[in-house]
Amino acid sequence: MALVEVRGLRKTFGPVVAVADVSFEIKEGHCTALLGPNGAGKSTILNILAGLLPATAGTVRFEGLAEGADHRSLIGYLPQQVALFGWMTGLEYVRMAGELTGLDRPAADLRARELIGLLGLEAAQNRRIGGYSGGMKQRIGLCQALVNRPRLVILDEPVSGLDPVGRRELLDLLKQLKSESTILFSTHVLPDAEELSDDILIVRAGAIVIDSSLTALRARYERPIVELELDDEATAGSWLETLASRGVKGEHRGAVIRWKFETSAAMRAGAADVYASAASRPEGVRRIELGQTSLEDMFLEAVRQ
Amino acid sequence: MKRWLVLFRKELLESWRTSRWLWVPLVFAVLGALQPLTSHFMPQILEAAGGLPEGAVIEIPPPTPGAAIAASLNQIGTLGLLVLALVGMGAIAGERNAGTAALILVKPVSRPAYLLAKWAAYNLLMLAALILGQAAAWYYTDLLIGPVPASDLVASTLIFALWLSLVLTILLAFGTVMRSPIAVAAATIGVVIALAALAALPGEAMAWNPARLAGLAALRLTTGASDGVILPVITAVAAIVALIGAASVALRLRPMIA
Repeated sequence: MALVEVRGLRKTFGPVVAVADVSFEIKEGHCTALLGPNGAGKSTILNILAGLLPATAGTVRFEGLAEGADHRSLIGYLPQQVALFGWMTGLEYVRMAGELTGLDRPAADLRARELIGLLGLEAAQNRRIGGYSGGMKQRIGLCQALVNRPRLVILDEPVSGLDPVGRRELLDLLKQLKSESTILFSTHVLPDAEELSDDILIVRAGAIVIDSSLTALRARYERPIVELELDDEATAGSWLETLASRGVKGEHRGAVIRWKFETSAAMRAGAADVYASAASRPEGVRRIELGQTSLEDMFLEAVRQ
Repeated sequence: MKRWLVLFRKELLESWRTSRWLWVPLVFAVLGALQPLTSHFMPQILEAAGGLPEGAVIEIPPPTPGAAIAASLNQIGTLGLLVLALVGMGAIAGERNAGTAALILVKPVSRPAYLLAKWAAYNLLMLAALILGQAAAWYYTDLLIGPVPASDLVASTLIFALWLSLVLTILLAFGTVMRSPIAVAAATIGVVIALAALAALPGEAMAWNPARLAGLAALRLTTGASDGVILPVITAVAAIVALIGAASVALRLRPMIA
């Protein structure tokens, strides 16, 4: 059952078409990644879903609600730039967010303390947000998004502003969250999408170019590859030539040559050739690797098409 | 109503933590107290300043008690109004630019509740500051010049508060359609100056003009009469209601994201 159904969504800013006729579904309990290059319209789609931007055309329908009904009490939203009131303390902010979703004060206080504890901010909960670090603000932002136990959590580039440690912590948190909530998050960090999500939406220039589950996407785009890294880019040409004469076509980016195959049988034959050539002239070879194309390759393919 | 109250509490906490509750009333109190003090001590001030030829005699008729308070009200109507405009100019435009408004409006809060919470909080601040300013003016006038009937003092405060409340409403309404806080303040002051200039036209054509309320408050203090107050009161109240309605619509139509 789809939790959210988006049909024919369109948003224009004057002559600029930010989102052009986008339709998709968000499945209950799934984590959906909205991928796309900068300026593809990811934030616009999320802002419309969050109720902050009116759509030019199209509908957003939540399960159990009439079309276009106010669904703000069902969602939690974390924007790209978390802007909180610096003069408030973390606890006050999350408590206020809870009260604004309809909790009474004692319940909001309880829920705020629970979330702040979960995100490890107790020590700072009574300090002003103005003195918080970026990572702490992000976590308070997450607390305010989760305070009403939303059915859909919308996160706009949740890890983009964080240092590697903060990013790791947040990803682990989102993994926990996945088990109890439906999540829709945007990112341009592909490994994050691969790590967290069940479904992938790829947007390019305001349109959805891929809408698929991660498994189906892998099955469709994943291809066996052989990679050969050399010491020196200059010799790559001669390597490609030698192997091309045996029917193995590849391409190189810098000192890394990659051969992509349609089937694993073809890959076995090709790999044998590559290994044989490497064995016959091992000098200058840094590594040989068998593998699969990554989500990044699919992504680049999809947004270039 | 309950969520309105949450937002109203947030506004009050904000103006408390940012010390607005300290210095806005303080400015109004100083403005109120200054006028009776300077009128009373004017001869001494002139003498101390010097520059008058030997033997020159200047007779300054002491102001009536009512005129002294009316003069301080006039100060509050210019400098005090400017302070209010500066304090409130970022109420909506600033929150929109910072992105904090988006995080509030993504919660199930109605636009009118968001707006009215601010409106009520700023009006409360204005009312407290105005009462303090009037009390200061009344205290020194009573001490140095003479008594003023309490009924005139209360009536003039109420009339003047309605005018300032309209100004605050204009300020908040501009905040919903303009991005820059400075532009909000400038536009509001522009409207106030235009209304005041029109209100100064002689005759009955401007009898409805709410900017007349400022003069009528002063008139009540100097003469004890409040003729012609009904019409501008009606327009002011109607304008406040209409502006809040229009601003709520503007909030819905204009995206609240930076």
